[in-house]
Amino acid sequence: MASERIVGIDLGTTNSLVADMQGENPVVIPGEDGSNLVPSVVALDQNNQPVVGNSARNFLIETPERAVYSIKRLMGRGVEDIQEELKLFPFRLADDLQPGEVLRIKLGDKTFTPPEISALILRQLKRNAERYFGAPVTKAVITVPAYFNDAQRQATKDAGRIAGLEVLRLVNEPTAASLAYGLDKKRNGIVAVYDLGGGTFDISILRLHDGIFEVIATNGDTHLGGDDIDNLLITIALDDIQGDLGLNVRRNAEVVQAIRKAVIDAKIALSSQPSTELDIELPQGKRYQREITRKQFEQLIQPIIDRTVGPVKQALKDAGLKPEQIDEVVLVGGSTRIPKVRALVKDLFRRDPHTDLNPDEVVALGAAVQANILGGGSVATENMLLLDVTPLSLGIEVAGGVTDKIILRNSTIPASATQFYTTQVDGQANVAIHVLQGERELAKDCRSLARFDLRGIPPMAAGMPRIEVKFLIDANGILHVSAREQRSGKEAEIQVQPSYGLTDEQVESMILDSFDSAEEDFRQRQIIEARNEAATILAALEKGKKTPAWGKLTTDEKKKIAKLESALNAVTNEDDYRAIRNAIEALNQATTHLAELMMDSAVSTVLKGKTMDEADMGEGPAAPHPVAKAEFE
Amino acid sequence: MTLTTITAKPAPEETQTCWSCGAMRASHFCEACGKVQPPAPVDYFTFFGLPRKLNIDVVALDKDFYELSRKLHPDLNARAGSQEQGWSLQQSSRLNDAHRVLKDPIKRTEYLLKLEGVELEEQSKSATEKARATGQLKEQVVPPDLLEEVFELNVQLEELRMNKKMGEDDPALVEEIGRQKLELEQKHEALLEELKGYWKQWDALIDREQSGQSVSQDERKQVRDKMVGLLNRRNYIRNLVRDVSEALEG
Amino acid sequence: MSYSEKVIDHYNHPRNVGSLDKLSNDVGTGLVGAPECGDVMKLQIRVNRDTNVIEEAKFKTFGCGSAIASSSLATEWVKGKTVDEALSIKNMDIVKELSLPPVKIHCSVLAEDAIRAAISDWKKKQETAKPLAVEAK
Repeated sequence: MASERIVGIDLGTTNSLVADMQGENPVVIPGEDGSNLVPSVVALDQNNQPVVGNSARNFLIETPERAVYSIKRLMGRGVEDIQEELKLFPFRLADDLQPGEVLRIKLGDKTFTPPEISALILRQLKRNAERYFGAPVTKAVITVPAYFNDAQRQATKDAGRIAGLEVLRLVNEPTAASLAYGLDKKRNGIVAVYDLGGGTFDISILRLHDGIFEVIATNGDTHLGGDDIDNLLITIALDDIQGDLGLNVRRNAEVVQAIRKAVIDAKIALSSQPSTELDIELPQGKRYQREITRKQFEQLIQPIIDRTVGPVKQALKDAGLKPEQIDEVVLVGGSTRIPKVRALVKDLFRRDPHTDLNPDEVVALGAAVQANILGGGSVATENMLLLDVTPLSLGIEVAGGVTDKIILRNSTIPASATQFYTTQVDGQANVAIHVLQGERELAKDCRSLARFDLRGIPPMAAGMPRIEVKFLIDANGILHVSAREQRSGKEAEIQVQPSYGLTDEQVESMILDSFDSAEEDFRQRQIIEARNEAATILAALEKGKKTPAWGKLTTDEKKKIAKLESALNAVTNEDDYRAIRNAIEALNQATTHLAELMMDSAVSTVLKGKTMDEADMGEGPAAPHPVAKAEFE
Repeated sequence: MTLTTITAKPAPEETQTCWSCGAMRASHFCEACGKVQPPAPVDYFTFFGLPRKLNIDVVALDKDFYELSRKLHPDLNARAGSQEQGWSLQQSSRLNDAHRVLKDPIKRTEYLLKLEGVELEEQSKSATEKARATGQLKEQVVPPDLLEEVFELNVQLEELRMNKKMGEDDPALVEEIGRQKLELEQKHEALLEELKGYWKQWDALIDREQSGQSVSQDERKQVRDKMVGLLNRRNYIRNLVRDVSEALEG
Repeated sequence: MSYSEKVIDHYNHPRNVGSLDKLSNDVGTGLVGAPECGDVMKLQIRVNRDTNVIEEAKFKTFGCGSAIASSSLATEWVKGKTVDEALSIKNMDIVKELSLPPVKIHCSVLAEDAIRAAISDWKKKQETAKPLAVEAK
């Protein structure tokens, strides 16, 4: 069963978590430092070894050019999409980046794509889980913002693969939260999930009935979150420092990171106290000190949090519901700790939101619930089923650069649409198709997913071919395309040029070396355990040979056991734990009969009035027979 | 996006037995062993085991939808073999597509008309071809006064949008458009009611057919044409309701 | 299906948007609709009575980009043609010029319909105008 373990992962902008279903409840798995949250920060140490999480945070201040945070903002995006981000975040792009190429970020003098950086975070979570379970973890459910587009989802899936994880499902974060929230299946009604995280905002409206979690509408902004509040406060501090102290520290990465840390601390403090102090040491022996009151803070962030209003209203409209028809509101994401955000939500839905779940953990917990459902379910998740929707309409470009929508947003997924294409010139062999995602009428305002050519159309007069192209959005929200020429029945060949994203070959070449240090540690532990087990079994066998039961075995049986015994002895000194386990298993099989005979004699001894202790049947794991232990592997 | 060829392998001839346990089966999954079956190329009505009638009990449809979801959804077949997982993906997308279309009265009607061979596109195109050949004026499928009304209202909406852009306000215009909005919404509603009347006529034909009586092509065509005409008129009204609401809100 | 710059240009900067005096004797007006999508298109032509040449064409279309591009192209094409030449414009010509996909063919149909309707309106005016001219003699 151990190999079937599927973990739930919340790959967040600011923090990431891994969780697992234990019994009836999902539980967050802590890291070695005991902390449930792994900060989504990656750095390269002086030996160019990657460091992730809390230990990487120190690099942000000491060697900011070797560290990166909020990488989620860059997932599945092209260089032209991130101009705003570049103004606000210290992302250092590779110098030789070509337009249309997948982004690469510099850490020290090495470069990494966003999926690779995310993969390092995922690998840290994977290791945490493996340490916790003492067994390898290879399968996961990963959450993504509901409003992530196809390219962002694909990039997340690629990150999983690079980290050595089979991503069984991408689940939308607010939906995952509702799973954790609604684990108590008796809940029925309409639930709104307001999820304001570090870098993304989602609003989802669900109908819960008889264990079915049905998303009715979803909306959001994949570039809106706590980061924006931090950046605003940083900008104000930088202006103050220049204005009051005559110091321009904008290009001093260390100071900017120190300011960032200070404003984040201040932001957090202001959720529980009426005012706080910013106190930052600056170069030239100067010091920036300023008091911020909650009232000032609230005025400053109002424009940012107001940006959540539009998506909320649109989601309600799409769901065909009025605010008063919402039965419960659930808050998710660290930014919903801000009292002003809570007040806004209360105002929007005219009711007090639920705050009893830890907004940092609820998404990971929900991912663990979904992992459990995918793994076949349990008593706790029996009858639970998630019906999610696609957040954005899918379209194809038609004349004049206009988008023709073929799958509308908020359609339950999986969903499909079939389009028919024909040729315009006699004998035309190719038809080009441009796939888009988004709500705007013009193709240039929508997200380009891919351009592809239908090729190998049999020669026919113009307008004669009838090419059926099927677009299918799977349960991960990822698009698949297939095509067939109907008159000839030929599968048309499709050549896809994804607008952004890594090719399969690229992902393959990035898969993190399975023999890196952590994997090596794991392997060593496996070898030691296997050797210990081999020693136990060999000792049990030695004892068994001295019992009367041994005499009852046939010559063939004894020969076979002797052969396997020496085989096990031979492999225990090698470093291949799998070979050791196989040899143990073989020997176990061969000694089953011996164990049964020993058991029989033990039982008859008891019947003769002796105690078990006096029965001559070996000890420890060898009772009742050696196979038992290996079975619990 | 990923590119996979999701060609539904045509269902085997003997679709009556489960590919896994051989038991006689229901159409989408096996009632004996629960395995998802290869999808059969059926229309949405057949998918739900419904006759091609337009009055549908939407509550019952929803119930079937949820029950089938519990059998077909990929999440509940994640541990199946890769072929069965593929079938689960296709069956479940088909289920969702069918449910989405059938639960909506307009989409349902449009879908039925398409199944009946009515191509709205073709109709307009062939009318143009006829006009071209005869040199006559094309017969418009909607009454000319409706076209006039639509055009005039659009002109007013454009004016309203322009005013708003310039930061000007014309209360009289806003009031006038608001009044028209109410009228349009009423019209919209009335058209739906009228459509339901045609549903009854259509369903009666299907009932007659099923009870073994003959129904002429002409009878079918008459009801179909009424529905086509109504949907054509409704498209204009629908767009106007949408545009008017947007112009007033925006 | 490569979109020529011209097509995108027709959408972004439609030519000949506006209206002519509907009541004028040398102006023909066509108002047509595409019920498939609820688009409406009004196309007007001013014809020189001596040469039968269309000297001016204006349109106003409420609808999708393809409908706007189709009507913009239609007005460009009819200008300088005689009414009989203009009648030879087929929707498929517009489809080809604009590379319209099957789902947008009705937009080209709409443009052809509009040309025919405008010419027909103008012809009707000439028929009723002629007897008047005779009477005036």
